[in-house]
Amino acid sequence: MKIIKNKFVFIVFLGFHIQICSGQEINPSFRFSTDTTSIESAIEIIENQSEYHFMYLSSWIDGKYTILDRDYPTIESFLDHLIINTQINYFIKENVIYLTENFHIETELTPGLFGDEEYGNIDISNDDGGHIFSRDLQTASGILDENKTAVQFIGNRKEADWNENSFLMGEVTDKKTGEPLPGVTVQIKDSFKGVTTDFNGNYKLAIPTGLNNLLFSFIGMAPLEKNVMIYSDGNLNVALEEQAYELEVVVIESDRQKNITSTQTGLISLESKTIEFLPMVMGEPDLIKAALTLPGVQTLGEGSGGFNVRGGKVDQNLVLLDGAPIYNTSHFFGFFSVINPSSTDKMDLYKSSIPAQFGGRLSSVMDIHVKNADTEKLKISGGIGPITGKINAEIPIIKNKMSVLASGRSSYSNWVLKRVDDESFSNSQASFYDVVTKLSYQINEKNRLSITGYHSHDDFKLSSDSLIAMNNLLGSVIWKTNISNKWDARIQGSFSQYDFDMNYDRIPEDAFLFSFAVREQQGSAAIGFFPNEKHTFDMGVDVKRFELSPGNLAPGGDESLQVPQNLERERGIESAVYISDDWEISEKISSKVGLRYSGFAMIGAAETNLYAEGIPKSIATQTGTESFSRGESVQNYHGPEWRFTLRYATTASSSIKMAYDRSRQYIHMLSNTASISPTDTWKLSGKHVKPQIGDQFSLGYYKNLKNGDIEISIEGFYKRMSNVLDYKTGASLLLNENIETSILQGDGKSYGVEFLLKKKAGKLNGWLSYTFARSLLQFDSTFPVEQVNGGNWFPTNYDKPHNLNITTYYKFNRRFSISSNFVYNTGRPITYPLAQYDLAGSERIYYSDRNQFRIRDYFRVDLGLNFKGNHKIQKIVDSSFSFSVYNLLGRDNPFSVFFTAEEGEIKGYELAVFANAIPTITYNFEF
Amino acid sequence: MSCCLIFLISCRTPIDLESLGFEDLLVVEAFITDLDPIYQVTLSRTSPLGSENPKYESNSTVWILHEDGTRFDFPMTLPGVYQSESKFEIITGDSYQLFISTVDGLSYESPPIVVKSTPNIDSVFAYYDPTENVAQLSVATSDESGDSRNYRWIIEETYELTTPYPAEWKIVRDSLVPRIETATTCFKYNNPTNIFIETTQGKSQDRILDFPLRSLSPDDPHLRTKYSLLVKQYAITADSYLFWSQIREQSERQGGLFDVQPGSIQGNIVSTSNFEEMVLGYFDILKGNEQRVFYDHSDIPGYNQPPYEIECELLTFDPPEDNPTPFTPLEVAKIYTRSNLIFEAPNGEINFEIIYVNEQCGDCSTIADTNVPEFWND
Repeated sequence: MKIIKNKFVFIVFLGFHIQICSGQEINPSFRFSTDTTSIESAIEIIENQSEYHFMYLSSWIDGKYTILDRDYPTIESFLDHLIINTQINYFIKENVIYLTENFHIETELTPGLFGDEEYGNIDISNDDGGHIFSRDLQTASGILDENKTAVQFIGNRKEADWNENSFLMGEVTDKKTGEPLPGVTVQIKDSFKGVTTDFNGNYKLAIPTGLNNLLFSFIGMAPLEKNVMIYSDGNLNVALEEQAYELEVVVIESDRQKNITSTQTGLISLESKTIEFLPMVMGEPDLIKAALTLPGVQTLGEGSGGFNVRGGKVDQNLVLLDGAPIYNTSHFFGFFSVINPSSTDKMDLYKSSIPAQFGGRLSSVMDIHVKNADTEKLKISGGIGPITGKINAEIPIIKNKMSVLASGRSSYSNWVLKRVDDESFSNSQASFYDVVTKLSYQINEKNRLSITGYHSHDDFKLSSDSLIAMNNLLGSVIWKTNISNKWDARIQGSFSQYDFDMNYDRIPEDAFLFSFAVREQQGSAAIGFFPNEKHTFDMGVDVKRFELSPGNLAPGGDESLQVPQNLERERGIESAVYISDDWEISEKISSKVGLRYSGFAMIGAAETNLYAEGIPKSIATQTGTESFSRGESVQNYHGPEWRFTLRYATTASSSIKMAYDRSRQYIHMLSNTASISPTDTWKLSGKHVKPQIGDQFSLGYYKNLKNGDIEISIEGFYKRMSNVLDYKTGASLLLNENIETSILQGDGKSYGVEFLLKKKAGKLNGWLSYTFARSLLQFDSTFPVEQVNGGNWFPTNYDKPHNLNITTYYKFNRRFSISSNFVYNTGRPITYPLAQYDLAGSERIYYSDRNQFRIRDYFRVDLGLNFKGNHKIQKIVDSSFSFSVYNLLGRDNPFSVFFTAEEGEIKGYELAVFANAIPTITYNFEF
Repeated sequence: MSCCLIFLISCRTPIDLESLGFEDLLVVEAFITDLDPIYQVTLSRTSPLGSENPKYESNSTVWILHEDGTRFDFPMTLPGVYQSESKFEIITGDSYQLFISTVDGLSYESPPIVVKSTPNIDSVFAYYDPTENVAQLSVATSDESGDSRNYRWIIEETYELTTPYPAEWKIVRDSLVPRIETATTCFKYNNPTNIFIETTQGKSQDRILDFPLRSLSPDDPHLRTKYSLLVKQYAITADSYLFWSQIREQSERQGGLFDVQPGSIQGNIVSTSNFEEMVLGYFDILKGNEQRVFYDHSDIPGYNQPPYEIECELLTFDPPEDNPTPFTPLEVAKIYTRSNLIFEAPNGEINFEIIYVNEQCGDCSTIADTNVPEFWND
């Protein structure tokens, strides 16, 4: 009933919305009982009272109301009133009224488009054979979807070879900003044939000559369908509009069918603007914390830095900001992430089948995209929360070509600390800031350049202890170019530096300054090759240079007795070549096969400790040292990293995928604290530290319901890791000249099942995720000193088997919405005392096996209320308030259980980080 | 505003000590120093978490072997306590080895430990630190030879109490009788069990200028009359330092986010019967020296005398109005003896207003020792 019959769609071939008026009279006895009625019920009444039937898609009229306050002499006058203030057009054929939704196709076409193809009107006089035309129509009625209104003609009909493919190419832009949109999926609907646009927003698609139904979809944009009649090679440029109703809705992966059609598994995409509505601790929106609500991503506990992906350690995540790695992802001990979401567009987190272009970390790649500033209009936005203030400026430099984003965020927590009526707090300090800037330059149609810079700084001092300062400094330059329709290229250079120092000066004689730094420079070149619609090749080279200052201790002043101590710098080069092919084997099966071959060399100058063979390394078994001159290779490692995915489309809206991938990691973080501490250091692979190697198998089933409004996925994975780093009990990892004697390398394994249900549209949306997963470690050796837990498998300290998250967002109206989080997980393992004993006048605690006890389960509910200012178009400042309560129930979820001796007696305590409900108000503005 | 503060939000809740699994291990306490009146080794066993009394390892044979072959036996004097027969001389530079043979026939030993010399304490001193608002008691030491490097200190504190309201009366068998002996000066002893260690490894000089041992608030009752700290200093080996620093780290945990993960701590005593058996404890044999410092509130400018240990509330007894006889001792006794009160009757007349205080505020001997220690100077 509500479906338009296909064969009439050709009426809009002429490019206009034709309204055929039949002039028949409506039943004059008809009147509406109320002035205001829904379009749907008005239609129902007409259908009941007249001969007319309506054809339309219910989504066009859902929730739309109209005012019908008089008699309507003709059906046309009725319809004219019915559709007033809507985007709907109508035409009448016999007793059937066809409603169509208004499209603005014409306005999106660039003038040059008319050069080599015909648009909007069929020149019948040029037609050399009417039979072809009728055949076109036949095809049209055969394939065209119901909700289509226009067909565009591409190429020259005279050149049409109906048995061959033609190439369709063009540019996809953002209608609002005019900027090209990279990563847009261009798909021949219901066929799985498709490509994505490159960095310049260009695509090239081999497409069967004849009538095709194309779908352009992109995260955050309204999907656009186009009917195109392809005669020969030609261009089609389109502009996508922001998905208006999704602006205020929590959306993840809104590329409607991408989860089904792509070969990618284990991908989480989060848009910055969507997470702003999630209730967060201290009202601080946070991409990483938001990712924790999705399956397979965990953290040790509240306030711990970093995140764990599918049982991997924190240092096994490669976090990239426009291609440059971020070494320390946490502010303020780990309570906040260093990325200010208002400066970013979106984040992709690859948990498995990591694209071959990425490498160097075992567990995941978090690819964060900094926003491209608007090229047309100056935009300033900002926010004020209890912890930070932030401001964001988008500055056009050359209209439609060049723009600059400048964004900054700073805490005023120092100010808060100073005002606390407690001396130990007022003597403390803790503050942070981060700034990001990005220049985006569309040089011409084929070339695009972007330069990103980022800096973050933290410092804190608790009571009168040492002052610790941490810095991230990174940047990248990316140049993307379109060589031809078949080739494109990306050249990238980046650097990243992370350093921290500890400054102690309370007692001048003991004053010291300790510093650590890791630097990375990276260069890469990538080429994309699209020989035909069946293959997409990506290949490239990637070189990274690392330099570490593992520790530098200097006296803090003239009076200090501290002897300077410098641990030798470590240098290394990691290089890789890769190639991958996204290969569509058949309609149903496609596969992505990739190989990354990586190598690592630790290079001199270096002095390496040598130890006696076959016995545990210790200072006692050190036999000497070996010196390497500058540039000389100390140790080499290399090996292949396979990336393989297979997708089988079970139906148009469901698929099964399997993936296997291997990764190698040559730089490792050393940590012996429960939580990742800002003063953890890094270490390169070398003579005594082997690269970590990880293998992961995953299998998933993906199903979309309601045209992609609801997504369901189940993914299972099994992962093995070798040469995972850990430490011996009591190991000192700072300033240790024989660090290898304190390090253990062993095996890790993790496995689990992840379930995700997402609802992406409607008043109520959000997601439910449940994960069952285990992650275990094993450090076995013939020597007890190199064993942990007797060489048996034991759980990692972030092993939380059951994990349930429910995130919902309910929009009452344009101005008011509610969001909530529900989080449950199994308590994490901790090391629990096995016995107590008396020594040196006090009871002491004996700990044995690691992580054999679990703290209480974690359970938390958060609530957020969002109020927006009114929507007057001319208003200068757009403002909104968010009121949120973190841990609404005030449950004292334990972070850890610990034991201490007080006055000679052992006492046990549970430490809760956020033991109370934390209400916060934030204010955001935009103008 | 406080809700915005992470430090205030995190909280510690005491939990019951619950034993989850147990490992029965030998614990050896063998801190042998020439400053002690007698050398003592204590053998005990681990007990499940939360248990009250430690178990002792009795009837073992314990001896220390000097490098020249001389054997010093430590016969058992109390369950688990083994004391040397004589206070033999500990010779700097010589090595000593501890041997244990349990009643079950298991044997344990330490490696030979070389006795280090301990430099004299430069000073034990006290000062008021205005930034932290504490009276700081610290030790300073140095070793020009640079051989000492690792130090451990054992401290003993003594302080004098003066009874704030010396009682003149007491209740004996329901009668109020004059109090003949009221202690007004007493002494309390305390041996803090914190592990005090410091190293100068990595320093240009083997010198410690200010190692804080004890911090007292200016209004701490310890400083009310007079406070004394005895500091015993020992130069220890690097291995001993590592052991005690791990014990300290695990005993004095703050439960922060960045606490080092705990694990078992290997001492220097091994089982020669079963190589894999874990033995807890450490054998130190040391020569030390000591110094004492006195301090009290008058050394802190601008602070009044701190209060007495126990809060003393002065209460007045008013005879009931319907009884014109002001007071009979029996009546008072009936009312107050249960709370163990001592009476002070001004001017010694009992029909005057009766002021009473807690017993501990009227006579310090109820909570402390009345003997004046021999080192106490006036």
